[in-house]
Amino acid sequence: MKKQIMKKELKLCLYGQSLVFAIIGGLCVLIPNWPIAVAFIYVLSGISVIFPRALANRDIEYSLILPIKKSDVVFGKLFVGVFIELLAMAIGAVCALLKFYVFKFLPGEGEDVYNSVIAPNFSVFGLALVAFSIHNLILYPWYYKDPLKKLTAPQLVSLFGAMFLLGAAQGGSCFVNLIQDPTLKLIIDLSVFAAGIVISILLTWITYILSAKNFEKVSI
Amino acid sequence: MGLLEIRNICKSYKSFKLDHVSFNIEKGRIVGFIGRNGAGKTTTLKGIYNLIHLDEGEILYEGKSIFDNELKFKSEIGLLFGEAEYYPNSTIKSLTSVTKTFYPNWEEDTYQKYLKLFNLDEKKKIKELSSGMKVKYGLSIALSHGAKVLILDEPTSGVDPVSRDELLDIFMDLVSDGEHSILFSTHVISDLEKCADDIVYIQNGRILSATTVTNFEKGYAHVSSTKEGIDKSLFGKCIYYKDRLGKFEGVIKKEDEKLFSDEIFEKRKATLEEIMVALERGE
Repeated sequence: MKKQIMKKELKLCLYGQSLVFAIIGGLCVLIPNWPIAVAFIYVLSGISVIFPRALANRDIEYSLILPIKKSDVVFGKLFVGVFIELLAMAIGAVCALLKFYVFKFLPGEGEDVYNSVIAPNFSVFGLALVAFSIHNLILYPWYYKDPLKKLTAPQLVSLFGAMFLLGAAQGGSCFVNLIQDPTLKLIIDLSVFAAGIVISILLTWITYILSAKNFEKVSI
Repeated sequence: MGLLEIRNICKSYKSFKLDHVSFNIEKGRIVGFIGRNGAGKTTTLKGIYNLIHLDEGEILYEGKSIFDNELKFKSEIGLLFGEAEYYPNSTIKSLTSVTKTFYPNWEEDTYQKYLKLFNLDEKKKIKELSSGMKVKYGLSIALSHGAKVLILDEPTSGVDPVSRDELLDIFMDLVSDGEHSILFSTHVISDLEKCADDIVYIQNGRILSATTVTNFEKGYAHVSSTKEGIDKSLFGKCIYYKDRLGKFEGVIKKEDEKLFSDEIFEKRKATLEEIMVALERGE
């Protein structure tokens, strides 16, 4: 049934606006000498639009009429959020590679891109993943306490919280870039990235459990 | 044993209480669920479909609790809210292509048959459908996933008289195979008179009557008179009456009919609408 729910979310609940924000967020990595973690804030704006649109489309009522569990409804909505985040990450990763391997041949760009402390690294992606997960952890369980209500407070709190965290992620990434020893730098960079993935998976799982628990209590 | 049995369901809100609601839906029957706005019809239907958490009571489908077999229950029940408009900007084709994947018993041939029968154009957006067409689309979906029981909340509200009559014919055709049943809430009483077999009457969250339409109607009579000298003490025997400009008319309990003499009063069967108005306004 999870496959059907994913299909439903992608076909009915993934809006062009969310995709545009995800693509813009990812493409912003290409901007020279720009803190890329900040670009990911656009991605979260794309997630915020899912909920009011779902309300307008009576998505909750439609989903609850289907022969699926309430926890599956939560799974679907969390899936579409994570999908947008990962899509932006994937585009961002491709853009980061382009920055390293293509832009260095462009006149006047090489030095800036390679040597800046704000150059993209693995850490910034790992830490941004954690920021995304914390955003989801604030937004989803709060939303599922009363999914038929307009969502301003959870949207704002999760968005501003994530903005702060993405700023911190950028700082952490810069710190890794300052390490002089290339081997040590790579080890720390990859470790932060791996830790980011593990923490993100764990937080997403907690988000799912808490959201499903809150939604179980809801009467429509 | 009914196909669907609702037993003593209760739900309390701050200003409203659904109080030990019980009734059965038998195979091949159309059950009209009536009551004033706010009497508890929609709350009951939501409770049956587990959209709200009930405080007490149980719901049995084919003898088994729906709470233990919720997914099976939902795949064999079609629930339609009259005004519901899911994904208004999606086309029928797009919404159905998603919806049908959730139902293992989906029959595409049946779906196409109903689309044709109801003149539904798959390319149309949901928001472009009229109220009647939306109900027909909902019915097409429910019947194509093999729903045995259709639960319809105000399916005919906002529908023009001709389309309403057409829908009622469809309901009667559906149950004629003896396998399907329909529970539909309405406050358009004339709809019930045309097609309902059974009636469930809810008032202030309590079931006032759950019986066949014939039995329900048998319990009441309509009396009227334009003659002078009516014994005013008889007014007290009326559930509800009007005495204006020299014309008296009222609804009484059948057992009190003999108190109203044939010389003074004209008597006839009370219509469902007259009974409902009397029961509500007579309070």
